[in-house]
Amino acid sequence: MKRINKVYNYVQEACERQFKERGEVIGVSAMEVAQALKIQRSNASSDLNTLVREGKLTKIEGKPVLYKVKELSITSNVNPLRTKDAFSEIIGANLSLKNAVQQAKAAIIYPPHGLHTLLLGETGTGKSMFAEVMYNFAKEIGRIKKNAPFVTFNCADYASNPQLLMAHLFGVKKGAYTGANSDKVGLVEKADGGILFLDEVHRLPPEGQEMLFYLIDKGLYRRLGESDVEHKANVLIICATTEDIESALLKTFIRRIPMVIKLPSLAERTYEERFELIKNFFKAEAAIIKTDVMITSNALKALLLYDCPNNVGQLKSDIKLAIAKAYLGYMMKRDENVCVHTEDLPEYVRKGLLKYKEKREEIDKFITGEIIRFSVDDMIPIVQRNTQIFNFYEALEEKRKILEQKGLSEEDIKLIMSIDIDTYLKKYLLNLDKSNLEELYKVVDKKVVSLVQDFLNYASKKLQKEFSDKTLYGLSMHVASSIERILEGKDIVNHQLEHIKKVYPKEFEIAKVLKEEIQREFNIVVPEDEVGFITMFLCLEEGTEEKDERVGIIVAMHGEAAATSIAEVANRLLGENYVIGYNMPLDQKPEIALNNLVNIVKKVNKGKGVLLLVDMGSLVFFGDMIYERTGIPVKTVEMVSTPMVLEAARKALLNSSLDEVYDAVVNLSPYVGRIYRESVKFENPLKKNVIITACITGEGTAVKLKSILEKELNLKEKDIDIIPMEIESKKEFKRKLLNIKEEKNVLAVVSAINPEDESILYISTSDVFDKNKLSVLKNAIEAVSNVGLIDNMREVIRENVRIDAEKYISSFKQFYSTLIAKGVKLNEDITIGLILHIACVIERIIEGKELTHVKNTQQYIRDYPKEFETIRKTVKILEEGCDISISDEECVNIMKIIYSI
Amino acid sequence: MKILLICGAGMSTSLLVEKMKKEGEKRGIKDLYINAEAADNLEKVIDDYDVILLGPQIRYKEKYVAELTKEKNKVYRVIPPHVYGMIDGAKTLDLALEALKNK
Repeated sequence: MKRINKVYNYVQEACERQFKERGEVIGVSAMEVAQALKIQRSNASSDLNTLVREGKLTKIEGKPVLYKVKELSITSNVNPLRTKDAFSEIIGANLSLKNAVQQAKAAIIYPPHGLHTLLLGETGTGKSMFAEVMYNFAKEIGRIKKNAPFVTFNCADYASNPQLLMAHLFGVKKGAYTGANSDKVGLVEKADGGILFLDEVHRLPPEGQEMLFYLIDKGLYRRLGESDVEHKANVLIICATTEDIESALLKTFIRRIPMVIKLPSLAERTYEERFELIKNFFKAEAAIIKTDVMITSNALKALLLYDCPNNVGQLKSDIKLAIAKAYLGYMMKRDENVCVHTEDLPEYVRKGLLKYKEKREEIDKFITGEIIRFSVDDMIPIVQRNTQIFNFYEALEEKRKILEQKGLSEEDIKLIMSIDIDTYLKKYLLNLDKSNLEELYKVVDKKVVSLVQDFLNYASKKLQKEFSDKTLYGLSMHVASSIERILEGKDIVNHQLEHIKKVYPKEFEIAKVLKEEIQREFNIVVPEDEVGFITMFLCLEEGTEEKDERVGIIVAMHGEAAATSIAEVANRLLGENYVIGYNMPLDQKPEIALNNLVNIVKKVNKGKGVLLLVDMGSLVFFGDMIYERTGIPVKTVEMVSTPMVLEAARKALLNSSLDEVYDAVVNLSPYVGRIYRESVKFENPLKKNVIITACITGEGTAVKLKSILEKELNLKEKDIDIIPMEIESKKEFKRKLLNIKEEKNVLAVVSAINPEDESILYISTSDVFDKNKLSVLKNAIEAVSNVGLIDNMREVIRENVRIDAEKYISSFKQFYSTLIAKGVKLNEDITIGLILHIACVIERIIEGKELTHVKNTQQYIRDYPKEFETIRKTVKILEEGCDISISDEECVNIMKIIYSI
Repeated sequence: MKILLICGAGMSTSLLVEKMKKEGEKRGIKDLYINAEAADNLEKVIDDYDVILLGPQIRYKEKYVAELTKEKNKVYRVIPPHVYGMIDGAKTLDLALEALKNK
């Protein structure tokens, strides 16, 4: 043999040896070859390089340079089964599942036919998957034939009908019962020579258990209806259950089933395994959607850490859903890539981040960048940008920044912020879950918690009010972050401070106690603004939570079948008949549709309210009208799409609140998002006069109302702004109104809820769509807006007319609003003329000068009797206010001006 | 130059008349004759004037005034509400002068 061939053979053998021993090929150096073949190192090196040039070997640069055979020739020579088996595919086979895998292998290998096995494990730990791998392994090692059957049966399937279950499992003899017209083969028979997998075996009725034990003990069984014949079956049985091993049923099982394998829950598995699982699921999804999938570091942290009671199965579906959402975000151009952000994760997954502080050392090694990419091929960590965890202050600052960018004045920002603080705080508190209370000590310094606890006890006594764990939790977290902020030298600003002091003086005084405590304990100075925040925690009323009631989901769309077909798709995908569709034919009158929907809402409402998903048009406004009629909280989302309905139903089935369901859907919809942003975009600082549109069905509706009113009422010219608002309750509404009233002149409120404020004109939402009622609103708004005009005329009168301007303007205002209340229309032109005219009249009467005469006074009185009566009566206000008496003739003059006669 | 202001009763416009006269003196305009009348009297007196100015509150009579002034070869303007409301003599005088110039 030529030297060069010897060299090649040696390299090939060495590589094969390496592959068998280590599972990978490292390669050999020229020195190794030289020593093994007892040749010169320089000769070995020259031969190796020749082989590389000939393409037989591959060179690996480094020190020393290594040579290996092309991998193709190796793998074709080596049987992969020698180093790999069915179990090595399982994630964690060498970690937390090592024991289980060894037991399973033993059960299969055990002579002569293997051991019957019981798999124990919580829902979602992978029992079915594990049983199938055992089957594959049995085939691999030749324990069963390559074409041996693997029969699966879920004992819960026929649990309510034991006879049917038995028939299905063991087969039926013809005539065993009515309807058994022929012999029927059972699953046991079908599984002969293979494996029978019985899932949820604890649901097997007693009769079934007996027969199963007989099969296990003797290898024999009878069909239903047979008494004399027994059949033989060579079946390896694998049972699975989620039940506790200590339960009575399982004790009898364990006596007969020699091998019990416990699969660990996800919580019992290592973070390495969990990361591998996550990686695997991401790659699988990436392969399906044929594009790389990324995840932000925080989202990955949450997935690694959250409580996942339904184990791997749940982890998988949570990931699938998150990627689906991210994909949607990508389709809608939120991101350039498919990237899972924390907001794509459900709240319970996000809560995993709370554990980060505690676990960071264990999981930081998996966080290889701000954005982690999973591609179908491999994982390339890329550092891209920062993402933030939700924080109360940061959320407020963010909002503030947005408002500043819009160019709003400081005053207006303050106003909007003060309205928002309430909402933020409430959301912040409602998002907390009691089950996480134990986590509190992990995130917040114990000192803070006990400080807050003592304080709340004190406050509870003082205020005669109970505080829930949620308040403790929320306030503790808040105080902890405040302390951090103060220590970092950042500002704490509460835009509602003055308001709080005024409205809740008692609570404010009590909140000061906590301030003192914090100052003493942590040796820092706590600003008064912070006392304001503490006060707000004391005043927050928690929404009453109804247990186990779900939010109703209704889809209402134009057309003959659109709504019901979307509802059907969602119901099918969710496997539950939950979403209700309402088709509104194009020729159906809105009133009829409204009536029908009112009835449906009444039926669907289970006490938690209803989410109404609509396409367009009048349907958008039904929510508030339905609320008005029924008192049932309804939130509306427009531009409905199937993913939105799916998300709504999914959330609702998880017993989420109406707000949570609404928020989840709104976050999905770019359209609603757009409206929401526009709502804070005021081109100029707010005017002094404002109208408020407030909807309980979401800000989107309020904004829609705003644009309708602006158009209908020509508000831009009239110097009136509209503030769209989302409200939750009458109480909250009133509080917000009070807030705005301090800064602005609120002319009117358009809402389903009547704030019962006499100084504010109230218009019901449904009136906006009634032409007649809208014109009343139009007049009313015109009138109220003219009040400002009248005030401005005071100076003009003072300068030009010799009367008491103060007295005159105030009685004119009264005169004016009385006319409006009587339904008289007065525009700006007429109002100005009227003010000046009457001022002149009064001046002349006082000075005894002559007034303008009207020809045919009596004729006018006869022709316009109603009008004259109205004026004659209303003029009394002026007569009394200015201490004069006005003649019928002059009343006709005034009447002519007012009615444009 | 003769200017007539009309409104419902000729009273509120009389305030404006005074202001306009003062403004005319200030500007040194000679031959300025300004008067206020009730709208009902317009037909009777229109021949004596060059420009007719309407108070905004009788804007509803604009069509009638437009026809009448055209027939009599006169010009008219409606006083804008903010000018009227402020009893702004200067701006009203400007309005009349502009109307005459564009006759």
